[in-house]
Amino acid sequence: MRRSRKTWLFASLSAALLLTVILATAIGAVAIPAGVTLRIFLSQLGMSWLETGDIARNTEAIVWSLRLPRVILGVLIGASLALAGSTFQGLLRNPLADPFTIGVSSGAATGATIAIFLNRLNGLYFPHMIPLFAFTGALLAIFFVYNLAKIGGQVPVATLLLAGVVVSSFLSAVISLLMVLAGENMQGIFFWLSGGLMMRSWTEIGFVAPYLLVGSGILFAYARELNIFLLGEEAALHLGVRVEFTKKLLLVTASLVTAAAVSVSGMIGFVGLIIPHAVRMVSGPDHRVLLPASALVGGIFLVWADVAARTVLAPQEIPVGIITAFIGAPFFIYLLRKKKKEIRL
Amino acid sequence: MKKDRLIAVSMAVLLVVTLLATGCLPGNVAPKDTQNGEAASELYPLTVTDDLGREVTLTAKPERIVSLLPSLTEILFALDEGERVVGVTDWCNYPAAARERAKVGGIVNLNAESILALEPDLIVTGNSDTLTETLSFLAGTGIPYLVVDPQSLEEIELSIAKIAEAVGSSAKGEAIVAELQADRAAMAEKVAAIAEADRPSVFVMIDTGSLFTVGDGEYLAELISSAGGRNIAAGLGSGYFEMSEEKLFELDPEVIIATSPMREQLLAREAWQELQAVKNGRIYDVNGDLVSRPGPRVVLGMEELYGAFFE
Repeated sequence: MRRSRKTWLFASLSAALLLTVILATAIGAVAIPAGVTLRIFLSQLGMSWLETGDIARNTEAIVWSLRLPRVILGVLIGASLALAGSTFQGLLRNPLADPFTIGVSSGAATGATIAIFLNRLNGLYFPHMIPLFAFTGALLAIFFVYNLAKIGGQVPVATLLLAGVVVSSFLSAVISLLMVLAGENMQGIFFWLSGGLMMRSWTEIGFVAPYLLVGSGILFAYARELNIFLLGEEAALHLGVRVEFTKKLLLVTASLVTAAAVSVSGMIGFVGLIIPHAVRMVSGPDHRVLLPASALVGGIFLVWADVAARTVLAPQEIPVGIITAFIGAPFFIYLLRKKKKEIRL
Repeated sequence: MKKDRLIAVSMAVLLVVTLLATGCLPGNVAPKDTQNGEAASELYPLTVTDDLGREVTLTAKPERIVSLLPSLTEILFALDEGERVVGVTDWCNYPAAARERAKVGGIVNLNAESILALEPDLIVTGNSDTLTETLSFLAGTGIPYLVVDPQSLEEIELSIAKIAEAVGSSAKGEAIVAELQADRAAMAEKVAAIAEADRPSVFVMIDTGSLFTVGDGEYLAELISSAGGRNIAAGLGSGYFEMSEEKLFELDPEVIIATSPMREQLLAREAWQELQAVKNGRIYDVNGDLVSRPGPRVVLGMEELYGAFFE
């Protein structure tokens, strides 16, 4: 991709992201005039001379404590999933790979299920119990998959994929068992599994943001190596890439980014699989463009999917995973038909 | 050409087999009731119509009853028929004696073999999604089963009367229903004395991680209004659904009712500090068993709600 075109691409994506955050904060289940939203925004940002006395405290809370954190969290989660997805696709050289392929999400889901189970049946509770359990579950799952796949210091792609699938199926069975045992109390588990951004706050943002920031730094720095990986590991070795080290580093980084996102949002499918493919059709396979562009598009996409989730049936909510699939699948088919070319990595 | 025909015939056979197996074609007559015990009194054989509109015929007074819902177990014990209840679910925890009965599984994992092994002559069950499979299984066994699915407080009383009739305790059933009606009337009188403006707006929270709540058309919603509360989710949807958090802030309920212990968690929610129910500490944990089971203790649930609304 030429430099001028690249600049243009990132400039327009950044502008779109900013516009998305502003618009999505102005839209919601409760109608609040755009002017009021803007004044709440400005006064919260320190412009105390602005007169907000006429605005109900609850309206202010809706904009500042509910909507804005939810929108920002949507950006972070969407970016994390799309970034991790494009990394996994490149690393595993598999177009079907997504952030959940190697068992991160099943690990998180198992952790969350255990947390809900303990909470309902034993009354155990402490703040942020579910995200902490989910994160621990995700880390344990990564640890197991990684060690299962490791053969003499190396982590072959094929064994990694298989180990991921095996651990995922096993953990699904664990979740089902816990749901059966929880009986009447399984509602909470069901809601967590369907994923969503409701009932989240600034705290969750603080939890996800560091992983995304550090993770994207590492992943962007290794974008060139990911490009070389597409030629095959042997070729990469000949070109002077430290194959095993790079593979392990990227694997762990992308898994951690996913784990942090999933622990907070539950299972939101489709973003990590479809966004990288859609972006690749426009940007080409160069990971130096693909990774940051996927992150931006993923963030924008998830925020709009969540706007739909909270407004389509308002004042009722729909799990956002349903929306991502509803918008994502037809959009992807459209791209596929329009481009009329083979999908490649 | 020959192969095409083979494929066509195979497809047709598969289709017919599927239709037969799922009972979509005529000829799949439910097996006749094979019970042949002698009538214990002139009441039997007795035919009652259940909440699915099925006619259930009992040849004799049921002596071995299996209950597949906690609410139905409570009804049977309230009717003094606990002696004849031989099987209950893992969740049937009231009255204490019910815990000593044989268990046939939970809500989603009912065990067909344990039900059959108890040789029941009557099974009482509900009509929730989790029981659908069990119902179709029961239909194949020939054991008479009664489906009870009350949607309102009045229907709870009707269902008690119906079960009482089926097990041959109509008199006791009438007494319980009369008592429930009297309690309800007393509550209605108390609530009627409270001005509309003094009745608190209420949000009922059924799950911690989401705003799952109850709208119109469920007895839980009726329970709230009967106890003198104004359900903020009324008119926003029917049945159980998840409400938008923004809407909760807009409607800002005076009272939040939690059906499982979560008062402390909710009071600590950072984003909720602006809600008046949080500011005033008016979040109450109620006994979920009392408000979520359409059985004889539903009036106790109503009184607990009344206590929370007008403490």
